[in-house]
Amino acid sequence: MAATISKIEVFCPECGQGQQEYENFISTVCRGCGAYFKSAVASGEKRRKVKRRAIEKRELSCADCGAVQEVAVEAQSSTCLSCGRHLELGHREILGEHLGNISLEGELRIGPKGNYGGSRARAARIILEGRSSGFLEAPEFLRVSGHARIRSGASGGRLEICPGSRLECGDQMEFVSAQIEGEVRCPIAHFRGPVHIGPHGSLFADKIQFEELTVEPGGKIRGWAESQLGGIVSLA
Amino acid sequence: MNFVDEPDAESEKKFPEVSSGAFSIWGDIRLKGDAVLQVKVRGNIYAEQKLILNPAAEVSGWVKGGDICVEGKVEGGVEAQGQVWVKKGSFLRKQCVAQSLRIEAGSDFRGEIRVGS
Repeated sequence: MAATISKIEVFCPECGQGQQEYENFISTVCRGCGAYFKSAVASGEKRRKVKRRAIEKRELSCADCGAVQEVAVEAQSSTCLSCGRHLELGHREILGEHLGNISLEGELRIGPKGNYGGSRARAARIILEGRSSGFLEAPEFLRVSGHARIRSGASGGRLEICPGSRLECGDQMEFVSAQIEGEVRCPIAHFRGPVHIGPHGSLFADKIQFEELTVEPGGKIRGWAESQLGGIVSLA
Repeated sequence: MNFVDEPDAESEKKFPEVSSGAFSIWGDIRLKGDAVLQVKVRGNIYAEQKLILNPAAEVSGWVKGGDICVEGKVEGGVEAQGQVWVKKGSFLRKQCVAQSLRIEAGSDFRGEIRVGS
């Protein structure tokens, strides 16, 4: 918190009336005669400097244009200095019905009875336990726990299907990597990196793309598959 | 990871080895024991045990076996009762059926995949 600035009594050079002003005041108007006069303290060298606490900052990149800016650690929202986009920095939880687009730099949790009805939700981390009609974008990870359903597609960094969980996706899924310990069903699964299917995991898709695939004994995978050679191949 | 034990040099030495760059085999092959192949085969291979297809091996048909490690080229697909290991630099087409599977980065696979019953 900023230090408080004490008040001092100053006298009008015209009428001599005294009045209270802040110690650092530069100029003022006499409340008696209305004369404007400057502070002797402000013009002098004795001006007291107020020490402010250094604000802890962190880097934040815009979800739209990618411009990087610094924001206070405690900030809950900001605006991109480059494109003007509103950036919501906190976390959010959907336990019922939610309409409208979401864009968070934090975590989004869609609870077991939650239903995201917007067209697109973006959050650094998404934990899906319920349903989503819109497209989900999770640059860090999308974790599925329970019986979840996505009517549109999904994309992001890592897809995590917890043991005993099930995900049904109505459209293409595109992730960097996947750790599948539950069941996944989708028309197209595109992984730019390694895919690991555990002993109780299963992946059923019409088309599967991956860089590296491991299916442990007990794990299941079905579909037409293609390994990627030499970089990213877009299915779009 | 309790996955496929990668075939090491020791175990490869124990296997009967069919290797020659000078000839190709026309027709199907049936192998009763573990084997390492390093030839071109214009046909299918059925191995009752473990089969390793070295980088020089090329098979135009399908390969069936217990455990199969592909380092070469198989155009007709593989079907294993156990594990399939598709190594870096290998080429596999048509299908891959197994109980467990490892496809390494840098391998060229395209086809139907069916793992687990």
